[in-house]
Amino acid sequence: MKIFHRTSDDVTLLDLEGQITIGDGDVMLREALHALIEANQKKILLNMARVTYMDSSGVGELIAGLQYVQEHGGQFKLLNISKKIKNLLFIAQILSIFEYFNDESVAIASFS
Amino acid sequence: MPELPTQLPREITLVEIRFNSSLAILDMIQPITNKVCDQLGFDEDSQYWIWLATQEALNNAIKHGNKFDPNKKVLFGLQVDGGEFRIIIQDEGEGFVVEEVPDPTRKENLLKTSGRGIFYMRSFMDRVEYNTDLGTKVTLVKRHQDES
Repeated sequence: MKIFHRTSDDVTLLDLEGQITIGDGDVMLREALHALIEANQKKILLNMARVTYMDSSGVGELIAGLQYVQEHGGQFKLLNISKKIKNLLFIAQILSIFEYFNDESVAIASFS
Repeated sequence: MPELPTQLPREITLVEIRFNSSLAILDMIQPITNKVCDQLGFDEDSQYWIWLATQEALNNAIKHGNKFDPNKKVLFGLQVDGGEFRIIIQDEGEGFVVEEVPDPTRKENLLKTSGRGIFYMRSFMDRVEYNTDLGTKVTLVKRHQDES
């Protein structure tokens, strides 16, 4: 997986590209989120438009990321999650713990 | 001249691979699994979820079963039996009691960061069978349309 950083106002966008699975993307995502918190960038929007595939380890990393950011007083939201990934979260009954958006400007405005 | 059979045998093993406990093998197994799914007439969505269940079982075999021990092998097999497509994954680990695996959808488990692999396998396959007599053998079963 590749992770590209962008900022909009005080929101950091992480554009993810590829898959989030055990051994491929899960650790990278965790390290990226920890680095942002260490840099005091606590408004984080994960753009998943180009995430092609995710397994249960990826799901676990999203939950871990949400908890880690919230524990450090930050906000962690999702953007452009695919129908299949939404289904993964829904059937595991955890979709509702995430704030997610389909429109980037609406998502960024929600951080204020 | 002997008469050629007009029907395939009821049970056919299409693929059988034994490999070392490395996640790197998944990149090779995925196209094989998808190709067989394609030939059995599964649509793109079904192939996606069948592979997800397969990957979860392989992850468990390599990580929890064999604990990444390079000296231990994982057996991967694809079978067609009547109208059923079977994916078999067997590790050389100590086995476990599947009934003792916590339900990840219970309120107290919802925020746990692991423990959803078996749940997803059961969600996306028609049946999941376990045998822990020798390591853990998982059989993922999906019914298919093409029974030829």
